[in-house]
Formats: sequence, C-alpha cells, structure tokens
Amino acid sequence: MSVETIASVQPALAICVSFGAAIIIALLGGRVRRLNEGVTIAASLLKFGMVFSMYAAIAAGAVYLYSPVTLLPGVPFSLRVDLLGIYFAFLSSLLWIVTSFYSIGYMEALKEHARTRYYLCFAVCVGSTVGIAFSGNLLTFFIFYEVLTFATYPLVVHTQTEEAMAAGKKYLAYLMTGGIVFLFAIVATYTLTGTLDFADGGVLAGSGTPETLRALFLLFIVGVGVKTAIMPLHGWLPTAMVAPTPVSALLHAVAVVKAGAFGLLRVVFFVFGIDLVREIGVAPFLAAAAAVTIVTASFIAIAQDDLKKRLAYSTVSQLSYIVLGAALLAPSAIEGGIVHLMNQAFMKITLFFCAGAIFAATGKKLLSQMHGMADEMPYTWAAFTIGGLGLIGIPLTAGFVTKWYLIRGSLEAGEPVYMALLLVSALLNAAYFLPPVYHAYFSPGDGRGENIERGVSWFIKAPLIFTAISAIVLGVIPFAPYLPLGAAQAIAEQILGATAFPPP
Amino acid sequence: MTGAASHLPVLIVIVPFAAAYFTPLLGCIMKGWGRRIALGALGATLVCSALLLAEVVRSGPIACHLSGVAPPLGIAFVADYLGACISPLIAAVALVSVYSAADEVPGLGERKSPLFYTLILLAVGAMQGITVTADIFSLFVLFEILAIAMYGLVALGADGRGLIAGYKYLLIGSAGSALVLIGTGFLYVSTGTLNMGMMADLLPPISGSWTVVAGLALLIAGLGTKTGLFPLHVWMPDAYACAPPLAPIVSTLALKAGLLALIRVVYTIFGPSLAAIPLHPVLALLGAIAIVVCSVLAIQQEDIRRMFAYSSGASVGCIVLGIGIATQAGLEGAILHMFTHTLGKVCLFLCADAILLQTGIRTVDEFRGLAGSMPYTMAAFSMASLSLIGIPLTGGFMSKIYVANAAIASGLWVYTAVLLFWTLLTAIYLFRVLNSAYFEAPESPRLHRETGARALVPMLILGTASVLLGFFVEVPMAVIRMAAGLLVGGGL
Repeated sequence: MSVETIASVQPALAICVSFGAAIIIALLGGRVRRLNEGVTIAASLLKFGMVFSMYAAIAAGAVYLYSPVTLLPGVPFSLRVDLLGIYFAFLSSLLWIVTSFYSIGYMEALKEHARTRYYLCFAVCVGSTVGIAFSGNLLTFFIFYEVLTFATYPLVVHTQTEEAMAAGKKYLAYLMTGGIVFLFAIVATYTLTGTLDFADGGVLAGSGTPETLRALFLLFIVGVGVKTAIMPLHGWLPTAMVAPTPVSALLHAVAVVKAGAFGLLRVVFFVFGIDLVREIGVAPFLAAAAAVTIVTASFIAIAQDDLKKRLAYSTVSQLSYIVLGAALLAPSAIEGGIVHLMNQAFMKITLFFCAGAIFAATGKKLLSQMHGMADEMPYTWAAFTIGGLGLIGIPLTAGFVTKWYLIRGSLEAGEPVYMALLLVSALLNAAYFLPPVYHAYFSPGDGRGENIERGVSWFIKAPLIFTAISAIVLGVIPFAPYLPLGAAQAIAEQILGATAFPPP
Repeated sequence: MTGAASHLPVLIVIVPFAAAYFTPLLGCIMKGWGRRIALGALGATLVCSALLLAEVVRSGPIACHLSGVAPPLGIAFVADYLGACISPLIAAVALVSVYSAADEVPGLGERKSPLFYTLILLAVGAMQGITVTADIFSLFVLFEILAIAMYGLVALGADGRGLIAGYKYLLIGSAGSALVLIGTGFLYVSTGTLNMGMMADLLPPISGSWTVVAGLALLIAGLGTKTGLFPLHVWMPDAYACAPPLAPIVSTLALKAGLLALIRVVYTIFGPSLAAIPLHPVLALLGAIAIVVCSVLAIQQEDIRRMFAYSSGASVGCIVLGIGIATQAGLEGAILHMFTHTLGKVCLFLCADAILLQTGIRTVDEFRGLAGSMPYTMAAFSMASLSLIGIPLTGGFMSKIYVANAAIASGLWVYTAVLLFWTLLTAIYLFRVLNSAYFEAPESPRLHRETGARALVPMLILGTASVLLGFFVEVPMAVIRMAAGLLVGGGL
C-alpha cells in the first residue's frame, strides 16, 4: 500500500499556535487584563481546528510531512502526521479547550497567583504534546518530550510552597533521569541503524544481536516508562498532585502521562516493530510489569484519603492498561490499548475536574470530609459517579469498551491469566471508586445540605459535564464516525499489517 | 584567490593589535573613547574574519607568508576551515560583549578604563593569531601575549583579591607557558622545523622516540593549563570570581583558543603519528573525568562566578573528550561544543555582570525573586542555562548529542553515558539559580532596576543564538564538517 504524502507546513503551524500564544502571553500577559485567558481560549480553538482539518486526509490514508532542517546526518527535524499521531493530537487539543475554560474558572475561584506564568507554561505544554504526537522520528519526539518535562515543572511548583518545591525536585529528578536513559537508547539506535525514523514495522530488525536489542528495549521502556508511570518509576506522579487541579487534570491525567504511553506505542510498534518484539521475547516481561502495576497501584489507591492522590494512583494503574494492550501483541489488545488512550483521558479528566470543583467550592481535599456532599454539589457528584463507573468498566461507559477489547485481546494472545487480572482490577477499581460515591450520596455529612454548587462558576461546571457526557457517548456508540474506536482499529491494522486480521 | 583575500589572515590579527597600540594614548586624550575604539577595531576584525570565512569556504584554506618569505625560514599563517570558523566566533562574541560594557569600567575610573580595553584588544588579537598561525613557535608567543593580557585583566579587579587571583593565575599560567615552550623545543630538536605542516611530515618515522613523546606530553600539559582541563583548572574559579566585568568572558574565549591549539597539536601536527602513542584514550578519559568532577564541584559553589568557572571546566572536558574520541564525528562534536559553550557561557557572564552592577548580587541565594525585578536579564540567563544544561532543541543539546553519538559509534558507550548524565549534573546547579530567581519570594521587597538596553541587547542576542543554534545546527555544521574532515584527513 503506497502512502500518499502531503508536504505541508500545517503540522508545524498546529504546534506553533501554542508557542505563539505562549510568546504573546509572556510579552503582554501581565499588562492587559484578561489577555491570558482570551489568548489561551483563542489558541486552543484555533489549534483544534488545525488538527481537525488534517484528520480527513489522514483517515483516507495520507500522511502529512514537514521537515525543514537537518539535525544529525540523516536525521531531520521531522513532523510526520500519521493516524496514531493525529489521534493523540486530536485528544490533547480537544481537551486543551475544555481545560482552558476550566482553568479560567478554577484560577479565578481560588484567586491563584502567577497566572501569566501558568497560562504560558500550559500553552507550551500543550504545544509540545502535539509536537510529540506529530514527531516523525525519535529525535524530534525526544525534543518535544523533554520540552514537555521542563514546561510542566513551573506548573508543578506553582504554589511555591516548600511541599511544591520538593515535589518539583522529585518530578525533575525522575523525568530527567528517564529522559537521559531514553536519549541513551536513541543514540544507541542511531548508531545501530543510522536512522531514527518511525516506520511501520520498525527500523531495528536485524541490526544487532538479540541481547543488544533486549538491552535497548529495556532502556527505551525505562525512558518512556517514567512518564507512563510504570511501577517502580511512578513515584513522581502522586507527589506532583500538589499542582493546581487543571494541571493535574490535563497534564497528569492526559498530556504528560499519555505522552509516555504514546511514546511506548511508538517505540514498540514503530521502532522495534511487532515482529521483532515477538522475536526477542520481551513482550511477556512488559506485560507482567504492566500487570503488577495495575494491581499494586489499585491497592495503594484504596488506601489514599486525599482525593487527588487516589486519582493519581488510579491513573498509574489505568495507564498500564495501555501498556498491557501493547505488550500482549494481539490485535484486539492493541485496539483496546489505543482506545483506552482516549477513553481514560475523558474519564480521568472528569474525575479531576470534580476534585477541583469540590476544592474550589469548599476547600476540601480529603475523601473523609466529603460525606453527604452529593446534595451540595449534585452536578459534580453526578459527573464523578459517571467517571468512576466508567473506570470500573460498567457497560455503556467508555471504560467498558476498553476492557472488552483488552479481555478479547488477552484471549487472542492465549494468555487468559490477563483476563482474570482485568476482572480483578475491575473489582479493585470498584473498591476505590464506589465508597466515595456511596458516602457522598448516602452518608450524613457535616454540611447543611444546601446547594453550594450554584456559586460555582459555569467555567468549572460546564467542562466537567461535557467530559462526563463524552465518557458516556464513547461507551454507548463507540462505533460512530469520528469516535476513537474506528481510528483505533485502523491504527491496529496499520501496526499489524492488514494480513493479521482475519476477514470478517 | 584574489590578492586582497590572501591578506585576510594577517588582517584579523593586525587590526586588534594596532588598535591596542593606540587605545591608551587616544583614550587619555579623548575621554571615554577607549570602548569606542575597541568596538571599532573589533567590528573591523569581525568583518575581516567573516570575509575570511567566506573566502575559505569558497576556495579552500588560505596560506599567507609573512614578509613574503616561505617556511621554513619565514612565518606562515594558514587559515584552514577550523581557524576560519572559530575566528568570527571569537570576534563576534568579543564585539557584543564589549558593546555591553560601560565607557568607564566600574571600579577602574576614567584613567584606567582605556587600559582595560587595550588588554581586551591584545587578548583578542592573540586569539585571532592562534586561530591562523601555522608555526608552533608563533603559537607559543601568541599564547604569551594572551596570557599577559589575561593576567592584567584579572588583576585589574576592584579589590586586593583581584590582585591575588591575578598572581595565582600568573604563577600557574607561567608554568603552563614554560611547559609549552619546552615541549616546542623538544619537537624542534627532533624535527628541525617549527612549521606545523612540515613537522607533521617529519614526525611519523620518529614518533616512537622519547624526545617526541616527551615533547607531546609537555605540550598537552601546557595547553591543558591554558584550557583549564582538570586537574589543571585550579586557576579558573579564583580568576573568575575576582575579575572585573568582561574578564571572565575574554577568558571563556581564551579557553577556546587553547582548545583550538590542542586540536592543532593532536590532529595537525601529530595526526597519523599518534598511531604509536596512546594519547587519544588518555584525552578522552581526562575529558570524562573533568566533566564529572568539575560538575560536582560546580554544584557545591555558592558564588555564581565560581560556579560558572567549574561549569566551564566541565565543558572543556566535553570538548577534550570529543577530541579524544579520534574520529571525525567526535571532532565535529567537539568543535560544535566550542560554539555552543561560548555563546551560552558568555551570555551567562554578561547576565551575571549586569546583575552584579545593578544589585551587587554574587551568590546563588541572593538570586531569590530576581526574575520579578530583572525579567529580561533573567530571560537571557534562562535561555543560556537551558542551552548549557542541554535541554533539547538548544545548541547545547545538539553538541552533546554529536559528541555522545561519536562516542557510542566508537564503542565508548561509557562516555556516552557520562555525557548524558552530565545533563543532570548541570541541571542541578543551574536550576538552583533559576529556581531561586523564579519561584522564591525576594527576602525583602527591595526593588532592583532592570539593566539598560546596552547591556540587555547583547545578552538577549547571545541567549537567543544559543537556543536557536540547536534548530539551525546545520549552519555551523556545514563548516565544522569540512574542518573536522580536513583535520582527521591529516595536515593543513
């Protein structure tokens, strides 16, 4: 199948919208009232439009390509937008719009300081996330990957308290170490193959002994695994919850961690290639690591009383679903993993939005303080319930679609043990999401039961209602056009080669 | 080649020297003209070296025999690709740095200020000479001129500490010069010539002799002192901490001249003769040790200039490591790192100077909340820091990648690991400064004023350049590739 290549500057423009917004904010943010917010919203809408406008051609099988300069001999700065790339870019740019509105409400409600810096870094983060999505080779990928790391740092230490500074240090220590390992793997790949391109079917086949390639695989997995929070590399994520909630919502549930998961997909399927991964026999270890992470993180989540910490450990656990999907190397599992990239984002961002709404309205952070709150904040708790049920995997929610495909995939791969694991994990999810919901609705609380949600800005409420509804839509009509399942199937076909799918 | 072009290698040396000759006199007659003369001379030098670069890229290396007498009797200047690409860098960075300085150097007064600019011009002239000389004895002489100018600059520091630092520098520097001189003597005795090209031709058959090996060792040790290669870096921290403004910048450039001379010795003079002498692995090892030790020392520093001094020591280590990898790729990385380190570190020194002048701040702790009162200075500071740390898409990242790639391609993956790990070490100390400036509240709401446009423009230019270099890395690499190719291919 020949791929139609569209040479166009559009991918670069879609990335630069955010960086342009960041520059405008940096220069004028402190001087013009409401400029930060206005520029952020405008840029997020524009960016989504630009990403969306590329979708049709890419879905038809084309690839956008833009590579202006050479960085290393044979390695240009390359933006190459394929289906997986546009899929991830679509996700992050759409949720940037939503989170931008949410940020406005949240920052206003809490009278947060240093908003210019906040909006600036946020724009850079989203820009680099889309850059990650559009990267055509490992070096370009790494560039945006590290920019994302550093641009997130000011957001983590936003409050500038001692706790936040310590969290920031831990964050940088983890992510920079991961980055260095990743870079080492990239440099080694360059030496082995002379190229760093992402190619369908991988580039590494036949370039080294199985031992070398196994070691390289380990380095890559450690490199992207820090952002993906595969245990034991997850330590930074719960600590980073000290950041303002919109940051936790978009970056620590979607952009940063998903950049890791996305990188993992790129490495496994476009650098190594599925055949090579099978040949060197590393996938079972990756699957096992993912399985351990899923279960362990769930247990830790149950023990957390701080809502955001509980959500963070839940994120750690959920991310490994994507890893597991990739590691099983079976068609449905890959589909499930890729679709979870999108589904988990909508569900988890909903939950974080709820946590932020509760904090902004009442200052409460601990679940034990939230008994009987459903009457006080009905929309918020309805959305929270939807998000929680979704992550458990109740039918007619997005989470169910994921688990259905992952379970099918584990059977296709001949590893029924992972089916059992997924079922256990659903129980564990229930164990940490249902009690808060139960207590919110049925336990007597300390509040007077008045509806305090009326005082909460619609900038906060509308985004969480939107994402909650999306989480249901993704579960009820997953096959509708423009929804992720179709795209995930197409990507899986691209990864596996059309022959891997038996005719229907 | 036109007749005029063949004089360019001489012009880049003569212009600053001639200006240095007139500056003290004119500076006394016309008050405050020292800086302007220096600016004019450096501008002219930059034009000449840019023309030289263009000419060399177009039609290959230019040889120029002084007084028309050919070697071995006469002295030759040869502008090869390496010299031609480093020369404009030195001229340009010196120009923008002098632009940022005040007519009257703080602490020196009206009378001594022209002297200060004289010394800078002397130093720049000597460095330009080092980039083009093809004669090893001239190299020594030029190093002496450079060193004397540097001692003077450091000793001009406002208080007595400057004098002591200058004296310490003088002691160590003289020892280094002596080593270079003795080494040169050994090689002269062995080969009977001082011309680098001829020496290169004569060396291979006798490269096993102890005289040659000893000469080489002495030269490397001497140049190691000049370049501040660990463990010979000890003069740098004191010299930088006490020096008046601009002196550390000139020194940063002087390090590059020293490294260029090191490349000349290792590749131009010895080149293939090194097959019998295991110098490369030693250089690589020394470089790697310098990276680690100097970075760790930099982390412990409170004084910002001492921190930068150790940081330079680490960067020198990276360049020496690149030289020691002994492949074209390694040399390319080393030369590229000379570019990125110069831009980044000079920018940092300019920022540190501006901050010192505006606020009197010398230590990291005092940086607290500085980004609020000096936003543009700190913006330049951040850009340069990011490049020096090696954040992707900055110049420092690309040069590090080039060296790291070269190391692993030669099977030296441990050095690749060291180079990448170095990012983390640099981040620890530079982020400490940035953290203080951006995320900590100032101790008291004393408001410092942002520095003026004259100081801001150069630092922002250098900061932006050090970041953009990562994206447009092919621009210098086009020449660097030719330079490294010629050097590894052997001879001038």
